[in-house]
Amino acid sequence: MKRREFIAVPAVALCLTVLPATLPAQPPADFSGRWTLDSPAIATTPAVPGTPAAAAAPGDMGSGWGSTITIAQDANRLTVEYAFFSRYDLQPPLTFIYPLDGSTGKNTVTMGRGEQVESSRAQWSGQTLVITTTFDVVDRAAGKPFTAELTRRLSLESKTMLIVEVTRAGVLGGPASTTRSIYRRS
Amino acid sequence: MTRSFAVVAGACVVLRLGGIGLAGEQATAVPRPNVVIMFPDNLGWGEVNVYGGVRGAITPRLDRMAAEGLRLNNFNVEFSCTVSRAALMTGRYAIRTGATQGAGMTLWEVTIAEALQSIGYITGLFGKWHLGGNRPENRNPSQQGFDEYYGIPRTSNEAQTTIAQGETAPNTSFIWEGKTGSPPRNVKPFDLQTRRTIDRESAERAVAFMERSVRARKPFFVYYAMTQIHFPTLTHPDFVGKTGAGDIADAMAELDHNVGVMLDAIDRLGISRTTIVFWCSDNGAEGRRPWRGSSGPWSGFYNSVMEGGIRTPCLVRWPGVIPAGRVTNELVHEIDLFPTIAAAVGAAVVPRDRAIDGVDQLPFFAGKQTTSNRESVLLYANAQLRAVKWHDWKLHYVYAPESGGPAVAPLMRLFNLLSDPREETDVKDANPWVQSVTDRILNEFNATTRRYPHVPPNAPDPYQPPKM
Repeated sequence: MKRREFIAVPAVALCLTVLPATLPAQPPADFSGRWTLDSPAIATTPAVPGTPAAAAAPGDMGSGWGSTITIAQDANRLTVEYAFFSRYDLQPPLTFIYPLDGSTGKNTVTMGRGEQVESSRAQWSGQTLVITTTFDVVDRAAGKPFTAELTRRLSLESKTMLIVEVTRAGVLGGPASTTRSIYRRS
Repeated sequence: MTRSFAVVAGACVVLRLGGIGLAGEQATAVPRPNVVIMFPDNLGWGEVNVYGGVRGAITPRLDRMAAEGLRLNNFNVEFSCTVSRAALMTGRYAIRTGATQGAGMTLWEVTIAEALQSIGYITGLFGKWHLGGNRPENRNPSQQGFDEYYGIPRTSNEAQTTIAQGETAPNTSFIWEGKTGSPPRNVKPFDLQTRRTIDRESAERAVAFMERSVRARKPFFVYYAMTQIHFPTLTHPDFVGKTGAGDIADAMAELDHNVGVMLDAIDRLGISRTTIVFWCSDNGAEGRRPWRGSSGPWSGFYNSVMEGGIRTPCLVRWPGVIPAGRVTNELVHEIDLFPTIAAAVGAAVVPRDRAIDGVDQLPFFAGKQTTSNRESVLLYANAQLRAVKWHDWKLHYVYAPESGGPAVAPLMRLFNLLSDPREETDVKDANPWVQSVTDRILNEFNATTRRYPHVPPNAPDPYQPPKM
């Protein structure tokens, strides 16, 4: 028994060392598809101040991409599209294109407050796609221009479950916040 | 600490107006100004002509008052009656006071009336109280700084049933009166007949009170808490059908007339330049049919924190101090009136042993500065934080657009009130950074509650705050 174990250990080590080099690299996660937000339950009664229920935010800021999104992905880019306006508004869906080659892409959003341009850079961290977006904010309330940053981490929990974790960096002395949104394939 | 949370603001009240410097309690050489607050009920933005009223030009006196003073276009209040009166009277967000409609407000709270009474003012309440809960005799105006009072202990809808709030039998609702040192006295039933005449009566008594005060050479504080245009919106017989535009329009014509009665008296007594007059509503538009009011350009009604529920008309007149005809969209809240009045009378009368959320707006009102001393507003629905306004941004943490209705997903919604006054287009996806700012404002407020815990709702008297 002892001898066999002695032989087996180097064999396993050899396999672990050699096999990855000989197998093809694992392809990056593919987020393509239509996804719908898995809505959290809404508390029907107000929380009592000072209780844990009150401390927990009853709502959240979401992924920043709406509740139903369509993602198209190829080797070069990730495209996220969602309908923001109603049919009556006769506006196209909002579309965000993120280059996957490490370059910085720009997206322009029009929501009635001028054209808001955001710059994004995406990179893979294992099977998680990390998209860092910055906004140059010029707002009367803020006094002087500043840059806000938002980081999204996309990962597949399963073939039918997409996780979008969003961290909004603190600005103007305020805290950062993070939202974890769960989408299901629809 | 933002400008919005000037805890113990009264500690540093200093007034400089027109080159005359007054500080603290040394201002004995200059007569203190009189203070008049006219506070109508459930009056929405769309009821006043100068605010773009929807029922025709039926408010000439209010329009003239706007021309003679300052018109605030971003004046904020609490979302409902009792909490709004608690906030107005104390300079504190109502959440801190524990005030509820059923229990009223603890006598531990210090009101504007108590503060002014402490420096020699004669103080009178004429109209609606609604800070005494179901047993208003135990929390009556004379226990909160009013030398005398006349009006209704609770609210106008009792007139329909004559069943007082907290009671079950009819004929329990009365018009009352009282004065310092005496218990309240029921004067006559409050029913559909006296509901029509209470505001006129209150105005006449307020005028008589001002006349007596002037004769006595004493500065006065008049709180004319009008009951119009709360439902049932049934007006004085002199105004029934007068406008041809329905009950609310008739009631507004009456209300406008009563404002004129008050202002004419002030002018006739020769005290215009020594009297600061506020006219503002307790909360947004009446929402109950058949007397549903108008919120003007805003969405929603009272009992919601939509702009239509918490943004009301407010006019301020003080000839010689506040420039005439000025209009502003800067943020102001009803809790600012207490510190502002303290500054106007030149006395450090704002309590220093508790959190005060109001800020002194006198330099802004007087045109000494172009911006308000307030950057943000917290909006609660009773115990639940619903939204935070920061300048023109409004982040709903719990979006519940209908009065008394449920929250609607997604709960967190961001609106810019300049580009979207009706709060219809949620722009948080494109402006996620705003949450960081409003979270900071909330954190700062919550930090003050560790030192100054909220008075629990329904706290009995005598209330003693916990030692921290």
